[in-house]
Amino acid sequence: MHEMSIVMSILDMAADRARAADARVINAIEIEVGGLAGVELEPLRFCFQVARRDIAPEAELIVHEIPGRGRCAGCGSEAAMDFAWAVCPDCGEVGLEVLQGRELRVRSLSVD
Amino acid sequence: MCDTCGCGQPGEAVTFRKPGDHRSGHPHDHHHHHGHDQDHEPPHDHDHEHGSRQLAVEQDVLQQNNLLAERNRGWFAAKGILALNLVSSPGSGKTTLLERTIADLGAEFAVSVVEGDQQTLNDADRIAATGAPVIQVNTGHGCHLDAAMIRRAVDELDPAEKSVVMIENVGNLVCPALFDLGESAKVVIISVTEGDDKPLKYPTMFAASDLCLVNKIDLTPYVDFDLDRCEEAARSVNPKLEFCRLSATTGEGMDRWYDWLRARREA
Repeated sequence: MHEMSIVMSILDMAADRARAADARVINAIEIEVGGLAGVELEPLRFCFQVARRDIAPEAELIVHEIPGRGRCAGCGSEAAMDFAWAVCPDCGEVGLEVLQGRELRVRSLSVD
Repeated sequence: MCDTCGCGQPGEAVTFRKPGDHRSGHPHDHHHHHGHDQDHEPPHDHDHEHGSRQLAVEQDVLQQNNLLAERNRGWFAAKGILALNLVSSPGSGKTTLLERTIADLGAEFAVSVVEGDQQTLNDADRIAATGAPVIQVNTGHGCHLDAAMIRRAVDELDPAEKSVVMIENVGNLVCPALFDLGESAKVVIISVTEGDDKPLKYPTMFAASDLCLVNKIDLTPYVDFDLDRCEEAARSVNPKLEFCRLSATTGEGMDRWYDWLRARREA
């Protein structure tokens, strides 16, 4: 259940940014979560519902999912990655270099 | 990074104790910064204009943990300390492995230990009995150690230059994979009383590790665990993973682990 730690970090980060901009309330928090980030969306959303408070009592969590993608060190071809240990579909080499999908970022906030 | 997990408990619930130390859950100033005031004022009106607006943030969620981990890594490097993050399921034999390692190598180089568990001083007491400096981090309900806990624990331990710091993470093959502590390497331990398909069930941890210790091999005649199949499974998720098959109880195979440690200290 590291998703709760992640949610607390997201809320802390959002609250800091909102207060620095003199916002009264956070309406929505937009985040990016890569498919290889090691975070499950269902518990993440659940924890967010439970943990939102203070300046963000009813904030909406908007999740942009970023699919995993990697490049083979052997043949150079690019492929989708569902897991961090994908096998190259072209040459069979194990272990693609991750190009995208490890993202775990707060992109923006909507505030009043 | 908040060091709590699973229940939103306050940071003060994490405790740092040494054996013989009777302070418990003391609420002194050790909890690290959350990035905001703890005493929130209720939302209040400003005289600026209202209406929804968008604020850009563009910040990595694990940034605070990762920055702290890099600071730890730099600190260890400056002192020539080898710091290892030992990860496994509960009951794989991490503490027994450390007891034997300290007994066998303690004359060669200093070893100190950070013990992570949700509760009790039991493991720290066992390490203290070997004579090695140890600090117990009790994470309360937390399921992993984070970089801030290591900073605090290492400050209290004050390990010597060129020594080895063994961080025994909370027994959990899932969450500790995500939290960099600033270690030189992760060492994953699996024992033959577990399933040999564990690397496939918990691939993230095996993918993140440098070395896999297969422990309790003295019990292989009594269990249905195929050592080759286990290593093959682990290699399929991490082709660079190294292995040592050993028994921390009988001492069989420990030499390879010690050679790996010596080589890493030189590196």
